[in-house]
Amino acid sequence: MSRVPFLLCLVLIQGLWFAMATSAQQASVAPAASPAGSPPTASSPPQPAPAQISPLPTASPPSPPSPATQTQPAQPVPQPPPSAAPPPASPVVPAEQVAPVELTGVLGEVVLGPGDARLGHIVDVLADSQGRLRAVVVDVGGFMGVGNRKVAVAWAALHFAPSDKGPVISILIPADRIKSWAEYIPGRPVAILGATGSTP
Amino acid sequence: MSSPRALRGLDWLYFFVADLQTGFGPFIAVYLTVHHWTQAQLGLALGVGSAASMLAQVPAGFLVDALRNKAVAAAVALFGIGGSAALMAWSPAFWPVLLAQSLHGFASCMLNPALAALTLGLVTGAALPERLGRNARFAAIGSAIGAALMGVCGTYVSTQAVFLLAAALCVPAALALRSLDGHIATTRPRLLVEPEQQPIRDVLMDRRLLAYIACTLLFHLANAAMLPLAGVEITKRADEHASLIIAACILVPQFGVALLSPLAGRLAGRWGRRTVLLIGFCALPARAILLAVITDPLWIVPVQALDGLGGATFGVVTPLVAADLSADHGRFNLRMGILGLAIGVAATISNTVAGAIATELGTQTAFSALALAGFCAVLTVAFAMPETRPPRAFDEAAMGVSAAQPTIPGRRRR
Repeated sequence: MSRVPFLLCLVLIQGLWFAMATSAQQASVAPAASPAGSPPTASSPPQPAPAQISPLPTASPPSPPSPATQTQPAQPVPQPPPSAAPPPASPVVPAEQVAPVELTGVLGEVVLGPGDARLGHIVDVLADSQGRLRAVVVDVGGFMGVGNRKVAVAWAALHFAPSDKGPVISILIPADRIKSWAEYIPGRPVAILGATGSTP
Repeated sequence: MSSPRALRGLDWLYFFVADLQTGFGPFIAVYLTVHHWTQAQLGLALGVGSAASMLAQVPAGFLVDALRNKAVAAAVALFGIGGSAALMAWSPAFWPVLLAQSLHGFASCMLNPALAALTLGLVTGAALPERLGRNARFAAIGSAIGAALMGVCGTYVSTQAVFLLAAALCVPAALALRSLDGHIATTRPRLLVEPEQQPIRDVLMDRRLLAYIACTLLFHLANAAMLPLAGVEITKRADEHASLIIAACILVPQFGVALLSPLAGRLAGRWGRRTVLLIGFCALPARAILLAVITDPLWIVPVQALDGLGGATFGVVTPLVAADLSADHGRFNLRMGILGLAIGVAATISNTVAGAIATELGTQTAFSALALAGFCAVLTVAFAMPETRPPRAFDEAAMGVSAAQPTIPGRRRR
């Protein structure tokens, strides 16, 4: 008998869950639909702007409008300068076109360890309030969903190399060091491996 | 009483269903992350899946009880799981995945009770315990092979291919199901034809069921978090072969289950359910204590073999107890559903609490807490669990009847 209110509670929780699902969906249409992974692209344009990684804080005002518009801005951008008729349109928004091979979405990307062994894959990217990318959360180890751990590795400790299929990400920190590093738990102080003091 | 062909069909059915179910879960996280899902979305999708598979347990059991033809229930559930795997492979977008997760949760809740009910439709009386052991054996072999197959597929082909493979495995499972369909229709055994008269209230107030629910809760409270915690420890400590050791920790217990299940079934028939359960449950605190003490990752593998002992006894005794309690008035699947809900709730609590303890106080403390829960489980079996085995006279009679007149046992009552 005491099971009935308990079940009702569970049903209510399920209802709440779906309500949350609806709101989360609204926030997430873009990443789910476009496989290119829009947010991180602003930070890693390898060829056109190699020096842009460090002055990102200063360059941040122009960057927010650009990332979501990768292929489409190519058409609107040439138009405003010749016509110059529509002044209400905000001042010239810089845009660029990058070959897909030169960019990659970071989420889900495989990370290689020393010796090109597969270390894990990136599940999150951590940025600070100044817009600097500080670390990536890498899911390492495990088999069939058992024994994998999430650790934060400094963005600066990542190495990017070009390849036919886009940038290849690797970390030169020894694998056992990474696998035994403190677990990343959202909402807790984050220990970032390879940040400044720790030697690779 | 049933033809050997139908019984072989049942073997294969359990084999392929376990194959199908193993591969599905572990790859969802990797698959969706590769498709640029954020951690929050992923948590939501997995949460919906596990909530669906818990909430659907009791309604699904009720539904399978109400359906006259359990083979149809099993077929619907089978294609529900296959369909959800195909949907996941086809579209890793938010709503399709949520739909697939809910569908998978509900279908798997229907499938396990339906398969057990099919077994009861083919085998009754004294032959049942051993048959349930054989089911568990084939399920364990299937899930070990499924894990290996899908692991290779996920590593060397793609995570999407894993879901396609899971969907494809529906076909041999459906063929196996079809091979025993006719036999069930003709034998019309007791638990399938008898009208389910017992009110739900009486099912829930049954002291024997309540005692077994307590055993189930404590068993999974102690058991569920043990492998994940051990896996994390292995990842931390072992350098190169961590994944290999974890794979062994997953597969070794499955071989243990495959080896021990028929024996557990036979002994449950001979010594009684309670005795076998007691032996199996003792493996829990022993394993937790050993895991708390051991530091060398390689030694975790033989300790994990104890999981095979616990898994074999629990896997065989659970449907057996549900069948014992349902012998007079039906409602077998409802009982299986209630026990399934207990498993889900206990496993969730176990993983959450043990994970929190491991973070705050260290893994050793977490293993000690699990050992405590396991010890409580043993005490519950020893002091609260009554023996549910029907009196021997009835067993003999049922065996005699089933040997002589295969079509009659449906009419027989104790």
